[in-house]
Amino acid sequence: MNIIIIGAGQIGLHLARSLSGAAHDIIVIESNEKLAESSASEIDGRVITGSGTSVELLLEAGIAESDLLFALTSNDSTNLIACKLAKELGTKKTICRVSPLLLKEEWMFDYRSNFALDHIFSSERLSAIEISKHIRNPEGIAIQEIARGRIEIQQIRIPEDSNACGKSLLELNLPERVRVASIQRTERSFVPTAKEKIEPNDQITLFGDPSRLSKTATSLRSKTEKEKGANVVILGGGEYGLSLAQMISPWNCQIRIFEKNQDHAEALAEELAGKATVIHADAASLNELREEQVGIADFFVATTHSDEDNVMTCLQAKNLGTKSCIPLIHRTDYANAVNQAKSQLGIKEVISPREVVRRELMRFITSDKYHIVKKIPAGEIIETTIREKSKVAGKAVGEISLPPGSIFVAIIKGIHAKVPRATDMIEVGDTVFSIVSEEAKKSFLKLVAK
Amino acid sequence: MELANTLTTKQIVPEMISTTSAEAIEELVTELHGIGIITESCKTNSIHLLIEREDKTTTGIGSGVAIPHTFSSEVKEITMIFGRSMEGIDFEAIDNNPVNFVVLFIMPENNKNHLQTLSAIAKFFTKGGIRKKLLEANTKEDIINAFKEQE
Repeated sequence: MNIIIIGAGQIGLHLARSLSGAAHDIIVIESNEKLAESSASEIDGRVITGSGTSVELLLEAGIAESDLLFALTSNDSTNLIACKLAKELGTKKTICRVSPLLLKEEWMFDYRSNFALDHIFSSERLSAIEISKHIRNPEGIAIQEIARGRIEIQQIRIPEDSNACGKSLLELNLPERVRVASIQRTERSFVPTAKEKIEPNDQITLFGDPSRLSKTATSLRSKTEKEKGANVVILGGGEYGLSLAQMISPWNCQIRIFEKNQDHAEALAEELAGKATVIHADAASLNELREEQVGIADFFVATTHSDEDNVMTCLQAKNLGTKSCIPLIHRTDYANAVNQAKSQLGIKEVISPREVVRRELMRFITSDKYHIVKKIPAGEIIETTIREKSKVAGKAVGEISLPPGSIFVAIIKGIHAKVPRATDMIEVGDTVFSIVSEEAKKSFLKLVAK
Repeated sequence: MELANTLTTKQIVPEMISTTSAEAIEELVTELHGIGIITESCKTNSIHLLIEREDKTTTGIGSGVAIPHTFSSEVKEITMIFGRSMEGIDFEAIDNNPVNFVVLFIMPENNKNHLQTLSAIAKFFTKGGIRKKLLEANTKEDIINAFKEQE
């Protein structure tokens, strides 16, 4: 594909680097001369120095013949204008990075139509989704979110004292929009029928609406465990911290946010009234952390702009007794380094916003008929966009007989994602997520991904 | 724009029955038609446009508030209705929270101030205490009074 990237900052450079060597033509436009120069040596593609909002420069970059434009600078205005121009000049698809603030105002003003944006994302919100996965699944078993967090896939292990043991799926009476995709028992993995009885130590893959899924997972896990949200401490009330707090507040989490800037702390307290406690303090100090009893927290998430502060405060929190610590690490090289040493450091997970964004953007860079989102024990999560030739196009879900070992997990129409019901129609242009076992893959692709 | 002066008790639906955004839009616009504020054709068109807009971007602005809005040549002034749902409606809101309050607008097509109006309403609902007061209100009058106090 012909790909043009505006902005060689951390996000743009990381994407360009990871595309180097693949069979794509990459052109990067960067206005900062120094940055342009240093990135030229790192990527396999052309770097043009100048403004991404210049018609002349975009033409020089070959915008008219391009397939994709990624506007990835940290400036909303530059990104919006670049996308609008690029579309006028003939690029096929525009992907725009924006601040969470702009996303928040999208309901009032239709940015997508007015600036010709095909896709819009914020690195802060994507990172928040990633962190919230870890918080909502304390057992640490695989969890995967699709459609920007609207549908989730979770795996849980059934403990021996669970109420669910001995009951059939039918008797469990799962809530609407929550389904069982597969059961792994000893070494065998299978898609169960409604009559299948749950046994202790079964590993169950569930999918559905996240809030209902969390409740279901909790109730399946144990008879004593009551639904109680996690105790979460967030360091830094910037866009990352705020997005995270908003995202996890519906799950009954007890949230405290440390913010050292007083004005900002006050504004935050108003914005998050009733959802989180904002503490105006510099949490880089051990005393503050101790005073606020950070040790009793289940999670400590460090989201400041300083990688060093994030790692160091995580270590402090860990020493004070916090169960799981998650630092945000902006620099990709640091993120790799900390990630490799995370067990020694007692860090649960390292979140790299650059990497999170790269994974999100990679799905636009494929001309394949399907895309493997992730491998899980039950099989692969496969994303397909339904084309006219697909044998399932125009059919109701109930009419389609999928090969054994495969199941539709989500249908996405426009921005709406839902867990498919038998009566839902699959139409051309819909995106479908499925879990497909290795044995079923060939016949599944033949049926769906034509 | 002052909600307490713009809304009459007829334009308050204190116990919405809808569970999804599309149902909520239909419920409220149908009510506007039912109380004689908009015509049948305005009702049909508005429901269509509001749902179409919701398909592109949610108007669930977070904190349990949604503000669906559209334009119609058949209204002469800003027309609105307020609905409350104690259980919460799934609007696929930006913070994924269920929506308890829906403020639905149908605006004249030449309305130049619509962004000001929308942003003022959004701000109004983020201010301290209003959401709690609205949830605690027992009658339509209580709801109007809650708006009055806040304004």
